[in-house]
Order: sequence, then structure tokens, then C-alpha cells
Amino acid sequence: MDKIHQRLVRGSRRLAVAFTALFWFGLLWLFTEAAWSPLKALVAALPTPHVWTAALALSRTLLDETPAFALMGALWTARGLFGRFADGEALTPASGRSLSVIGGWCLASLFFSGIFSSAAFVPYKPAFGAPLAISTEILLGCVGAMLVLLGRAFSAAAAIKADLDQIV
Amino acid sequence: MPIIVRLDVMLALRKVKARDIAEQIGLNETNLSLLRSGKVKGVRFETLAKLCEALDCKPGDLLDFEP
Repeated sequence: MDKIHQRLVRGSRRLAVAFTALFWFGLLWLFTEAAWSPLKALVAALPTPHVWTAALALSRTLLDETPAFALMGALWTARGLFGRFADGEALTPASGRSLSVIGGWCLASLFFSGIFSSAAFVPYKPAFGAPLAISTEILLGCVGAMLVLLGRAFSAAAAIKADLDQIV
Repeated sequence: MPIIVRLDVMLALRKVKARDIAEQIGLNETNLSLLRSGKVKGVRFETLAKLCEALDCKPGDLLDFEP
């Protein structure tokens, strides 16, 4: 195994661990921030006639958080992708597909934030200087589109490699 | 594919084992087996040269064309 490959494996293993931690932390954060209070309200409202209002509030919160759920999907796929890189499977069609799926999740996040999230398309305002003209959701969507295309290029490269591997 | 690999014939003529040749030219045994059975898309000039050197033959002795 050459040096570049070793470095790729080492870095990928670290990233896989980081993405796994981020995923579980994100899941916990989503539960505590978004689902815990409405769930508690729903359980408390069970014996009362306000149960439907509480259920509606919970579903509204869950719908508001759909962009975050899509990002969780992206994190989970990224974890798998870097896990595969760490196993030494760098240039494979499956890796290209995973990269495209990550981009797809980012695009889905943009799509859901446009449909459901009330906080969507709010320009990011930095503490200093002029506010950014584009929202973080749109920026994420652009990154997603880029990743989808990069994934396709990756798949094409993997196909070329497979072809070259058949030349002895 | 009209290209026929005659490596098997050459190995038999020289009375050499495929494993020994693979080791001698530094080629994977699996790849040599694939080459012998003609299940490859191509052969590098480098590999061909090594095979010719090891088996003391010419590329034409290893490859044939049957339309």
C-alpha cells in the first residue's frame, strides 16, 4: 500500500468516526430540540380533549424539521462512504453512488426547507460586515448539486478503472 | 474475439508452470490465469515483453489471429 493510499485510509477512518458521532449527536439534538416538548405535550394531553391539537403540533414540528432529517440522511450516507474508503474501496461504482446520494440528500434538504420549514430562506446574518446575500439552505443545495455531479464523475472514473484492471 | 492467446501452448512447449512464470515476471497468478484463458481486455507491451523474455519466444508465438 503506497503512502497516498495509507493517508486516504487513515483520514477516511477519522472522518467516518466524526460523521458517526455527528449523526448520533444530531439525532439526539433533533429529539431534544424538536420532538421532546411536543411529545411531552401529546402524552400530557392524552386524557384530555386537546389531544388532537397536541398531535397537530407534533406533526407540524416534525414537518418543520424535515430538512434536518434529510441532512441526517446525508450524514449517515457520508459515514458509510468514508467507512468504505477506510476499508480501501476508494474508486468503486458504489462510492460514486454514495457521493451522489449525499448530494441528493442535500438537495432534498433544500427542497423540504422550501416546502415545510417556516425558517427557510432567511439570509444568514453574520455578527460583523454585510449579510450574506444567499441563505445557507441555497448554499447547501448548490453543494448538493455539485456532489451529485461529482458522484457521477466518480462513477465514470470507477468504470474506467474497472476497464483498465482488465488489462494485464 | 478473433485474438487467440497461445500462452498455454508455449508453457507446455517450454515445460514451465504458470505459477513459476507468474513469479518470474512479477504478475499476479490470477491475472496470468485470466490471460491464459483469454478473459482479458488487453495485454500491456511491458507484460508481453516480460513473457517473451521468460519463455524465449516472440509475441507472435503467444498471440494469434483467427478471423
